[in-house]
Formats: sequence, structure tokens, C-alpha cells
Amino acid sequence: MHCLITWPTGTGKTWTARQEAAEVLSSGGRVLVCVPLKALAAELELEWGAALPGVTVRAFTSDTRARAYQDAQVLILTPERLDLISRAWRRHHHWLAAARLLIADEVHLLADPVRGPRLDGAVTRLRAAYPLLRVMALSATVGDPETLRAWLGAAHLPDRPRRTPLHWHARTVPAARHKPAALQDALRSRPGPTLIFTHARRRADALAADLTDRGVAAHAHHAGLSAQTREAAEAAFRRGDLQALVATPTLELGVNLPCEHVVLYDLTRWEGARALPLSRVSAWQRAGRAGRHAGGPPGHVTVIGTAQERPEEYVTPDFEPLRSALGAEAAAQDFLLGSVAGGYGRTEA
Amino acid sequence: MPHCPHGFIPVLSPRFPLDAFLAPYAAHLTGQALISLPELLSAPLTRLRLPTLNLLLDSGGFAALDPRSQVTPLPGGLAALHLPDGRRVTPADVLQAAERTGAAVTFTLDFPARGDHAGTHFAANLANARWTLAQPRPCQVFASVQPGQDLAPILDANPDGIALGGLAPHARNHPHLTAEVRRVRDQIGQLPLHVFGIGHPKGVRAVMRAGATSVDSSGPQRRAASNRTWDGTHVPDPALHERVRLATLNLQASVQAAREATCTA
Repeated sequence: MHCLITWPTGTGKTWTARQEAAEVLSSGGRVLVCVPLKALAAELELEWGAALPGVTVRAFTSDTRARAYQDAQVLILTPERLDLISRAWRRHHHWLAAARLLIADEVHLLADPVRGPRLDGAVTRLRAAYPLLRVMALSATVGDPETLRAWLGAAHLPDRPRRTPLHWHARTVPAARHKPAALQDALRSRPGPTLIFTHARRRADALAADLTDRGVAAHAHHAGLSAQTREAAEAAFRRGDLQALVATPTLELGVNLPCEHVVLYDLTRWEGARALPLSRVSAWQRAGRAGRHAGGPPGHVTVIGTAQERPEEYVTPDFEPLRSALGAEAAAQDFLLGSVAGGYGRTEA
Repeated sequence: MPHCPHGFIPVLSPRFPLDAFLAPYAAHLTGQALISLPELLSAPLTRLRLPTLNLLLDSGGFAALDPRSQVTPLPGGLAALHLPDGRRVTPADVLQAAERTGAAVTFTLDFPARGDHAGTHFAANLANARWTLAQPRPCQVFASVQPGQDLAPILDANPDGIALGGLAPHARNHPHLTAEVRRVRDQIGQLPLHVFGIGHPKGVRAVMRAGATSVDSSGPQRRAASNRTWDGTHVPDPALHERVRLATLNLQASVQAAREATCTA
């Protein structure tokens, strides 16, 4: 039976998935784990490898050197890699047929206009060709979960209280220029390790520099930095040498850092001249980075916005309905072409 | 510890692409697959890309049902099978092929009773079985028998198990299947009993409940080749992945039926 788990962040979705994976592995099956980030794939490879002794756990991303899929019992893949495998299923069938469980972590990625079609395409194709493959979809932020549940034909495990409570604080400022002062204030009132989310790399750099000038131990964290710099910043944060990491959305999904406080600093994103509000899904994903340690201090989320940005509205988990981006014309064409090339369909002579 | 065939065992042929797609499922769902020697002679085994599993090698004597094939005598009362394409299968060929392929189990060369030839076929079957069982065994050797055949002389030759053929034409007649399997089971005590050629889950259940320890068929693929699952689902003009899907579901249903019957027996 397929399964959709929409428990809040920090309630053990990944742990539950690993238990299910262990069950599958014990009966000789193979497990596919689809995660949105290469960093998350690497993290999971280490964690699951340690938690599942005797099991070959391998991440397959562009960061890893070539490895044979059939040598792994747990394969951790990005949606892009899984999409490629599903297109070439005939070539991969000899090992893919042993896959009994597909864990789609952060399944709300389906709505992403670029990456969503990869995930949807892969899941759709694999479900078509492999009837013994069960799908376990995980996300804390699925709006209208019934639609996703019905598409998967899954059982839905909806609610579970967060082990570490998350307290929300909305701060309305008169204008955007007042945000730095509000941030300072928030950091003073909650001096624990803090993740501050901005929308852009330059803003993250500038804000980190500004905080440092004001005496706060802070560092930027975004995809424009080298992997070495990012890892050094994460390590300093884990050690407690930094109070704040100023991040772009790279740290939004599933990453485990010892964070007590999340600040949602940018609530508006600009696409050309168009202002787009931060989605509730993204806001709650980012917020979910706080208070992930069971039995640890409660998590706090401070939302800083102008009256126009309505920071108070983010406090309730009223997520936008999850809709797959595969319906967009270019994505649908790509899916169809990939499917025909993979032998899933054919044209009549 | 020698492998003891158990439950439902899929029959695979290197001639059919669909079977190559089913091979990984054979390994993961049952750990076993049966291949008949005439099929093995018609295409290289490597085409199946077989994963690690226990291979059962059937002599393929059922091909004698094809009017174009012939059963011809060999010295000592033995008999060989001449296939329509001119190739010949002898009892010695079966043993050699079992050794060559690393089979866990093989079956003596027997021929189904056919019209006027029933009496001579029974005699040839017995002679083939006795000769084969007297040779050094490269693996377990099951004696193949036909419905109505006297088992006492076969049992004297100390087979590793008995394999009952000739039931496929009666696959839907479950009382007949049950009666034949029980008749053999009553005579062989605790010896393993394999039944050839029953694939539909209802038939699988019937023979397993009646005392069979294993049963084989290529039915899951044949049913899929007619665009259907055992439960009647029909996919018109299926693409390759849909046909593989149908075959997989059929195989799973047959395997499940054997398991359920074993648990409730």
C-alpha cells in the first residue's frame, strides 16, 4: 500500500521511512530514496549507512564518482537522476525490479516548476512499470493532501504533534529599512543558534557582514560559496562558534542543524518588476529547521515583515494546494518524449 | 544443504524477451526458476540475464505432445526425444546440461502418454528414470511420472523427489488435479513432490493443498502475452512495460497462492 505522511517537521518522518526501509531490506528488496538536495543525499548516506549495518547505502548524485547501481541496496537519488533512470528502465530493469520501496522525501517539490516535473515523471513512470514498488511520500507542507493521496492511491497519515514545540512570533515593521533593527532585537531576545533566511545570495552576504559589524558572530551560507566554505560555516554553527547563519533557500529542505531560532527575514521575492510573496510552504519548511532535537529547547520562529507582507499570516499552516508542475506545456512535452523514448508508449504506424 | 524446490516456480525461456524481464522477479519472489532443455538448446541462457537463483532444469519431454516430434528408442530400453527442428534430447544430455548450467535440480526424461503410445511411453519413462538415477548425480534428480503410472519401480531407484506431469490439459479440473496429486502423495511418503505445468492461482492452490511441495508454469507470461492478468484485467494493445507489469502481477499472484496454500495446509 502506498503511503503519504504529512507530519510536521521534526516529528520523525525520515525515521519512520527508515524503519520501513529496514523491513523491505530484510526481505531482500531494494530501496530508492529520492531527496531534493545533493547535500541531503550525502547526509542521508552517512546516517542511513550507520543506522543500517551490513546494508550498502549509496548516494548517486553528480557529486559522487561513478558507482554501479546494482551494488547498492539503498540508493539515494535526486529527482533528476531518478527521472533519467525511469526513462531508461529497460537498461536498469535487472536491478530496478528488486526495488520494493520508493521514498519520495519532500514530495511538495512536485510543485516546483523546474524540478517538480522530474519528480512527477519519475514516480509516474516507475509506478507504471513496477507494480510491486510501493511509494512512501513525505512532506510537512502539503496543501490539499487529499488530491495527492488520491493520485497515489495511498493511505494518509496526517497528524502527529511535534516532539519539540515551535513558537511563532510575527513582527510587523513600518518599512523594509526597519528590518535590520527588528532582526537585532530578535537575536537579542533569543540568543540561541539562529538561521536567518533571505532570498538572494547578495542579501545573505550583506546581512551577514552587517551582523558581524554589529558584534554578532554570523556567516553567510548559500550555493555561491564553495562547498568547503559552506561546510566550514556549518561546522562552526554546530560547534556554537556562530550565533547566526544567514542562508538562502539552500538550507530550507530537510537539513539537520542544531538550530533553536529561525528568522524569516525576506518575505518578498522579486522576479523582474514583479513582487512575489514567500509561499507558506517555503515559510514552514524554513521554520521547520528550528527545534529539531527531541527533548531539546523549544523552537522559535520570528517572521519580520512590513504591513503589506502580512507577517502574521504565516503563523498558521494554511498551505497553498499542492499541484504538480508537470502540466505546464514544456514539462508535459518533455515527459511525453521521454516516455516514448523509454518505450512506455508508441505511435501507431 | 541441497535446494528443495518449494512453492510456485516460474518457467523461463531464453527465447522470449518478456521472460528476461521477469527473471529478476523470479529471483526476488521465489529464488527459483525452471528452464526446459529444448528451450535452453534454442537460445543462449545468457539472454535471460539470470540473477542468482536456484535453477531447475526440466528435460522437456512434454514436447513429445507436438505431433511433429518423435520418441525414438535407444539401447537398453531407453528413449530419446527428437524435436521438430531435428535436435535430439537423450537422458544423458539432460544430466550433462544440468552439470553445465549448475542446476540445483533436474528431472528425468519422460514422455506424456499419447494415444496408442501410452504403454511404450510408460516403459520408456521408467527405463529413462532408472538409468538416470543410477548415474552419478550432478544435482538432485527428480523422477518424472505421468498420471496413472505405477510408482513402485521408480521409488526403488531412490529418486530425490517425484515430479508429476501430464496435468496441464486438466488445469481447470481441480477435483482431477487434487485426486492425481493425492494419489501420488499417498505413495511417496515425505518425498518432495513437484507438479509440472499449473500456473493459475486456483490450480496452484489445489495442487499445493493436495500435497505438492512445488509447482511450475510459464502461465504468468502466457497470460500476459494475451494481455490479461489472472483476475481478468485486460489491457488492449499493451506497451512493453504494461506487458511486463501484467506478467509480474500474474507471477506474484501464483507465488502468493502457493504460499497461502502451504500456510493453510
